[in-house]
Amino acid sequence: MTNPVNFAILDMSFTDTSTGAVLEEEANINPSEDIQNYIPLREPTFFILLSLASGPRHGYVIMKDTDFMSDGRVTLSTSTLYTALKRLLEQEWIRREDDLSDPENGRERKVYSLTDLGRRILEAEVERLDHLVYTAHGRAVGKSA
Amino acid sequence: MSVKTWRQALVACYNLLLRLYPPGFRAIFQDEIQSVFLQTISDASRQGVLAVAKVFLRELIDLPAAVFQEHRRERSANNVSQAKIYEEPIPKLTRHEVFLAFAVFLIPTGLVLLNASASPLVTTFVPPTILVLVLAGCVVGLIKRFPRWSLPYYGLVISGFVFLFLFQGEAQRISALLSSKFVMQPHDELGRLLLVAFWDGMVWFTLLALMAFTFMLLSIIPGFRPLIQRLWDDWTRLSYLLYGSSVLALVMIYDAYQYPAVFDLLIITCLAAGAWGYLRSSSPSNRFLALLSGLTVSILMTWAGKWIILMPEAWIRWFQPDSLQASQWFEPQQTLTGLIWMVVVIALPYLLRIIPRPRTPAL
Repeated sequence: MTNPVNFAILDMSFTDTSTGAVLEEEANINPSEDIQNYIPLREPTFFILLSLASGPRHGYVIMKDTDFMSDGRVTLSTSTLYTALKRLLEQEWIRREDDLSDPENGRERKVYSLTDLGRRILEAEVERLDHLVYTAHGRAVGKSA
Repeated sequence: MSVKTWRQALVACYNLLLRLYPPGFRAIFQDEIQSVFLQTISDASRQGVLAVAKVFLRELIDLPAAVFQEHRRERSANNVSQAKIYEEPIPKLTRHEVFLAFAVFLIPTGLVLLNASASPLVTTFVPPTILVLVLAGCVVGLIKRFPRWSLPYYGLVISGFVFLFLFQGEAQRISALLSSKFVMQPHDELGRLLLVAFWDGMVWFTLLALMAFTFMLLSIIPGFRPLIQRLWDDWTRLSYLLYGSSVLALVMIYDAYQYPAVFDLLIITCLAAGAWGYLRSSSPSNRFLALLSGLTVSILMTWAGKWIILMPEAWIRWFQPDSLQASQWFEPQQTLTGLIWMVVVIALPYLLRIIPRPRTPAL
């Protein structure tokens, strides 16, 4: 079953292509070569990045979003989520910022958002998956009609 | 027990479990994780105790792997940052410093010449030359605040004290004591080898203990604190200092064999090459590898020298009056046990890395 929300998120995230050239200079990565080294992504990583594609989110929202997008198949525990977030921060695929609009007990909560590199990796992964699905449909596998 | 009480107990328990994470991870994420866990539990508690238990169980299952992974990552990150701390640019040496860095390897050669030669010219000039070189190395090292090249001089001085004074006098007494404790058969070469190995180990560990004691004393004097701090910061400095001791030890090991001048020259050249490799390396592992290579090749050269070349008659009589073969077996093996001890001793300073270092503003 296809979840329409997934595509809505994807559409929102991939409309902004104007930053592509700037990113390449900043990250100093050859798009055709190096990005391919990071994919395929593991499912939790893919859903975390996908969750952040539509904008900055809190850890709890990422957990819920992942659960929702995967139809309950990928349920992250807090340990798994924060270990993954830490790794993604170190790899500079995401960034962590204070959410000044939503303080919790007087302290700013933290939100996570995609970096340009993270967005490009997600785009490459979606393209890869898209190609797989297209190829499968070409062989008349998985067509609903 | 109500759901609320359950929830509070589980949150308290989870907060305790979070202490299993490494400090670096907790410093960044602990508050957030607690907050997210509380929200998750609160959400689940609306669906009853079973849902809460399910959430908690999932956390319990995932926690060990996450904790292990974070500890491993923090450890490897520390190793990388420590390696960066130890990483140093290769120092530029002046011509005088290069001369002094290698002169330390000429000193034992002078001793060999002195021992072998009956020429009045040698006996007149070699001792003061050696003394001047040792003093010059130590004094210049002191003035320049103990640069790397100067360290073998101090090792040489301490080993000279241990080998030539402390143990020379005691050698006969301890040998007699050991021989009386362990009664050996006339041709028990292995037993004799073990005894010699034990003796070698005792000498080297005495040297090490003496060095540790000296450094403890020096650490009290403010002028010597830079040396202590540098030794603490880079354990290979201490290894290099001990490498200076091995110079004298090796020459003593190959004393009174055939062609000593040729072999001593080869041994000392190998040691000097190791020292050069040490001074030209920027990472601790390469520095240690250079010392290890220098030491191993020079000892193997000693071993080969003893194995191939027939020993002078005097030595054979001293060890085994009736067996040339036994001595030929025993002597090279003794050299190899010496190598093992020397390698152990120069590798021991690595333990300094395990001891937590005092944090200084420079780090």
